[in-house]
Amino acid sequence: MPTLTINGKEVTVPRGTPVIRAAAMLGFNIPHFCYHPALSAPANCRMCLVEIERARKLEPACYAKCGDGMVVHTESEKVKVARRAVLEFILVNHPVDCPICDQAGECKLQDYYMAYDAEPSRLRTSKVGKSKVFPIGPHVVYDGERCILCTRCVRFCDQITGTSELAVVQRGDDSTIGTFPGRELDNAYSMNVTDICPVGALTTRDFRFKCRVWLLSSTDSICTGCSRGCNVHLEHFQGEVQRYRPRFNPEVNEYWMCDEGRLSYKQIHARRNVTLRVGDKSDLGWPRSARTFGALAKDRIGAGGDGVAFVASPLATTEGLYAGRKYAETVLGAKRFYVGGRADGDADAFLIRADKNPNRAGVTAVFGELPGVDALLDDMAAGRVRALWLMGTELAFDDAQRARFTELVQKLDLFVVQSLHDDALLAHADAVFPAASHAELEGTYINEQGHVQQVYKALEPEGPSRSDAEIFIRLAKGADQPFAFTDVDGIRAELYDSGAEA
Amino acid sequence: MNQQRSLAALEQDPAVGQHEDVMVLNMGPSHPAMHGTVRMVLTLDGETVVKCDPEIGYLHRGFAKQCEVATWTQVFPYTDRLNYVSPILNNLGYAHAVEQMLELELPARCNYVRTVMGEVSRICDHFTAIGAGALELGAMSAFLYAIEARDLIWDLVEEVTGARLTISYARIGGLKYDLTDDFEERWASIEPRLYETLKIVDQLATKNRVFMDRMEGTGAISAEDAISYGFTGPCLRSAGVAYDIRKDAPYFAYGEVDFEVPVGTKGDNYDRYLVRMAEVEQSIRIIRQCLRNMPDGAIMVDDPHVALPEKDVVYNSIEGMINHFKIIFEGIQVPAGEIYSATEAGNGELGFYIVSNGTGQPWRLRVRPPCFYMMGGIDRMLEGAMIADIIPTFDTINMIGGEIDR
Amino acid sequence: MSKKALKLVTKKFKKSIIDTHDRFGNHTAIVDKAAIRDICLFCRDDEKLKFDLMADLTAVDYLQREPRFEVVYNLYSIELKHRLRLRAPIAEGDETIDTVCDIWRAANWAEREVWDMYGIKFEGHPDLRRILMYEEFEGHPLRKDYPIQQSQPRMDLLRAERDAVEEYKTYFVGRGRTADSK
Repeated sequence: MPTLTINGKEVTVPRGTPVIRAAAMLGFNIPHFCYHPALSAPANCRMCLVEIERARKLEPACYAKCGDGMVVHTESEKVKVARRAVLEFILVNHPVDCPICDQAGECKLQDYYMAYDAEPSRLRTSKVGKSKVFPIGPHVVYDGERCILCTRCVRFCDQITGTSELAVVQRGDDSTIGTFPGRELDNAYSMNVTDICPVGALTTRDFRFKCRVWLLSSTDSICTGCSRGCNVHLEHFQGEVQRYRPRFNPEVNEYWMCDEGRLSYKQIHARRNVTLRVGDKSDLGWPRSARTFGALAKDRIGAGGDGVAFVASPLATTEGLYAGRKYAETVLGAKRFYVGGRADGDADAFLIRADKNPNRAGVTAVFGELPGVDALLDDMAAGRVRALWLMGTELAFDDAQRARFTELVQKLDLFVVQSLHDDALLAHADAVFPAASHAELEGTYINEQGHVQQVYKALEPEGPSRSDAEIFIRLAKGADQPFAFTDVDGIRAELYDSGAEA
Repeated sequence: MNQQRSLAALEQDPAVGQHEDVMVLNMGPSHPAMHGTVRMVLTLDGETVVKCDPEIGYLHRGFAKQCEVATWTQVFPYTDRLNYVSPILNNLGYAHAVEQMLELELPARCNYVRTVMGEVSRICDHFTAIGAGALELGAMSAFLYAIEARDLIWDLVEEVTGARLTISYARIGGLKYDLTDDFEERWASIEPRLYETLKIVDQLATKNRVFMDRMEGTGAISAEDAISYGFTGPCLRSAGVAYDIRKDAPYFAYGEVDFEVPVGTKGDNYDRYLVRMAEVEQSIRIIRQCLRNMPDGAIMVDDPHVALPEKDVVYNSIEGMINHFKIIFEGIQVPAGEIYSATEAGNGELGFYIVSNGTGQPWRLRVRPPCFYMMGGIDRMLEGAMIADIIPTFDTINMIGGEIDR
Repeated sequence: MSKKALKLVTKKFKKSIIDTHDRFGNHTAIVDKAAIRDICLFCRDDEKLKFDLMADLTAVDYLQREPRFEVVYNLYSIELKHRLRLRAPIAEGDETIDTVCDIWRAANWAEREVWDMYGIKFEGHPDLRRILMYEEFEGHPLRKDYPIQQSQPRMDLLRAERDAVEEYKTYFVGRGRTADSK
C-alpha cells in the first residue's frame, strides 16, 4: 500500500491506484476529459498533467500509478501553464456553439476554461470544419466540430457494451468519431455516450433543444422500466419531467442505464388518468368521493368475502402496496389476491431485466407469493369472483385474454380501477381513482437484487391524482375505518416495526 | 385597526391621560405632502403633536429577497430603484462592496469617472430635496427652478449612460460606458446654470421671512440624539457632527480632491436646508477638479472573470463566447464571506452588508438605508411641534420611498 | 475596521466569544447571544472603543446550518473612526435575543424590521410590531424557506368596502349606468 504526498497532504492507497483517484480522496479535483473511472485511461487529452518530483516531464495523473514516497503537486506554475496550453489547443478548432449547444451549463470545456484558462484566442485563421448534426444512431447525434477526441465514447462501446460500433476515423486534423459504413450506434445503451461526452459532441435526439440545463431541478429517483431499478436523476422544469440521467450506484447500475429506461420518463405525463369518478359522479372531490365510494362498496359487496378479488400492482411502491393490503383485507374484506403488472420482455447480461416491473419483490414482501392474472381470468370465468379491485391497468394479457377480461368485468357487482394511465377498461368501472406517478410521491421500490431504493417527490400530482398510499388512506377514512397511519412515515413505522413482512 | 390600537394604547399612557381632548389624525399615505408614500398616525392636542407614529412599507418591493435569486450583475437595476433620485450613488455603493470582496483594483480613470458621475447624481438629489422642501412650504417658484436645473443634469446623464433615472451605470469592476467625448464642454455649459439656480433659490427662500419662520427652530435634534438614532449624512452634519465617509474613509477619487464638509449647528430644518445648499457647491467643486485631473485609461478592470469581453470577441471566438456565457448565466463567482461597505450617498451612509456563499448569486444582500434611521427619529424631532412643522421636517429628512422601504 | 477594537472586546469577554475573523479587513466577532447587551454597552461606553453610531442591525438566515439565524450588528465610532461587527447566532426554535434599543435608539426600528422579515423576537423591545409589511401578513418573508412566489391570503373586505361593492352592484350595474349592462 504505497503512501504518497499530494499538495503537502499524505495518503495511503491500494497498489495500482492512479494519482488522480488518490488526489480525489484528499479532495483535490484534477481536471480531466478522457479519464473516466469506469473506463480505461488512455491519457490522450493531457488535461490531468501534474508535477511529480524527480520525474522528467509532467505526468498524466490518470495513468501514473501511485508510488511509495511520491510527491505530487497539482497546482504548481508548470501545471497551470500546461493546463492553459491544453485548453488553448482544444479550443483552437472548437466552434462558437454555446448558444445552440445542449451541453451549455454542464460542459466541462466551459467550466475548465473559466477555472484554469481565461486567456483570449490567438487564432488568426479559420477553424477546421467537420460534419455537424450527424445522426450517428437512432437516439444520438454527433457533432464533429465540437468533438475533442477524448475517445470516451469509443471505449464505452468497446469495454462496457462490447459492441464496438464507434472508432476514430481519418487522421490528423480530419479525425472524427465514426462508424463502419452501414452500421450505426444502435446498441441498447447508446445514450450513455451522451452522458460521458464531456462536450456537446454527442447529444441525445430526445433532449435536443428541449430545455436549458440550468433551468432544470434535479430529484433523486428510480427508473421504473424493469426490476433492476437503475438510479436516476429525475430532471424537471415547471412541473414537467424533461429527462432521466443515470445516478451513480456501484451496486445497481454503476454509471449507466439502458435507452428504453431512459426514455421511460415520458410515461409520467403521457395518457394520464385524471378522472376521479364514483358511479357517474366525477366532480365530487376526494373527501366526498371517498365517502360516496364507502357507501357504494358497502351496498354492493357488504362485508366482503370469498368473491372479492384484489389485484396488486408490482409498479406501485412498497408503502402503497402495504396500505393496499390493509385496505383490501380490513375495509373491502377481500379474500382473493393476485398480482398484475407488465408481461416479461427481453433481458441481457448487463442491466436489462426480463421482469419489466420495478417492485415485484415489494409485492412478495407485502403479500407473499401471489397468483398471476391468468388465474384471475380463470376464476372470473368460473364465476368465483363477483367484485374486483384493479390496482393498475398494466396486465400481462394477450389480445384474446384482454377481450375476454373486458367482457367479464362488466358482469361484476363492483369493479374498481385505480390507475396511472388511461385505458379502455376505465369506461366499464364503477369507480375510477387516479394514481400518481413515482415522480409525484415519496416511496420505496425493492429491486431484483433486494435493494430497497427510495424515490423522492419531484412534482405535484397531476389534477386529482394521488399516490396509491394516499388513495387507500382516504378511502379507509371514507368508509369510517381509518388507518392508524396518515402518511408514508406512518406506513414505514408500521412496516418496519412489524418486521415479519420482509 | 391601527387607529383603534393607538387609542387603546393612549388610554393607558400616563403622559397622555392628562389631556382631555386628544385627537388621533391620520396623515397619508395618499397625501400631497407625504411624498414617497408614508402614513403618519398623529396624536394631536389641538395643533400640537403629542406623538407621531410613521407607518412605512408602502413601497416595499422585496429588494433583498429578489437579489437572492439574481446574479451579482442583475442586482444593479434593483439598486437604481433604491434612492431613485440619486441612482448612480446606489450603483456605485453596491459595486464598491462587491469589488472589495473580489479584492479588485480599479483603473484610475474608472475611479475618477465614478467620482464625477456620483457627484452629478448627488447634485440631483440635493436639488430635488431643496426644491420639494420649498414647494411644500408654498415656494413653488424655487421648486420650478430647482427642477429645471435637475433636468439639465438629467440630459447630461442621459448622454453618458443612456437613461435619465434608472441607469444601471456601474458594473462590478468598472462602469458601463465611459464619459462622452464632449462631456467637459457640456459640463462647462451646465455649470453656470447650476450656480445661477442655486443663487435664485437662495434669493427666493433663504432669507424669506415666511421660509425662515417655518424652518428655523423646527424639527431640531441634538447631536447626541442624532447619533443615537443612527442619523448620518446632511441630517447629522446639520446637528454639528462632521461625519462624511468621503473624508473619513476616502474611496474612488475622493482622497485626491479638495472639498469641504459643511456642518451646521442647531440640527433644525433650516440648518439641514443650508447644509444641502452648501453641499451642491462642494459637489460642483469636486467635479471641476476631477475633470481637470482626469487620467486616461480603461474604465473597466482587466479581469476575464469579472468583465464581459468585447462583442466581436464574443461572437467570433469560442473563448470569448464561453467567457461571456459563464459570466451571464452563472454570475461572477464572488468568494465566500461577508462584508459591510459604506459610501456617502445623498442622504448619508449607504451601507451594503453582503454575505456570499461563493457562487454567482448573493446569499444575503442587506441595504442600510440612511433615511430609515432618520424616519425612526422623526418622533423625537417632532416632540412638541405643531402640525405645520411636520411638513418641513419630513421634507428636509429627504425620505425617499424606494430607499426606506426597498 | 479595527484590530485594536476587536482585541479589546475579545479580551474582556473571553467566555462569550465564539470566533473572530478579519476577512476583507472587516473585524468581526461572533458572540454568544446571552452576552450581547454587555458587549454592546462596553462597545458604546469604553473610552478606547466609543462605538456611538450603530450603523446597522440586521439578520441573516443560513438555512442548512445550525444555528440557523444570526443577528448582525455593524458599529462605527464617529470620533475614533473605526468599525466593528458583532454577530450573534440564534438557533431555530429559540428565536429570541435581548434588545439593544436602549443602548442605541437606532435599534428600535431596525429590530422591528428584523422581527418583520425574520421572526426573531427582541426581549424588552417596547413596541415590536411589523414595520414594512402590513399587520395581517402571514409569515416572515426573508426567511429562506419562504418561497419568493408565495401569495398571501386575501383579506376580507372591511365593512365600508363591502357596502360600497353592494351599492355598486345594486345601483350601477342593474340600472344601465355601466358599459356591461344593456
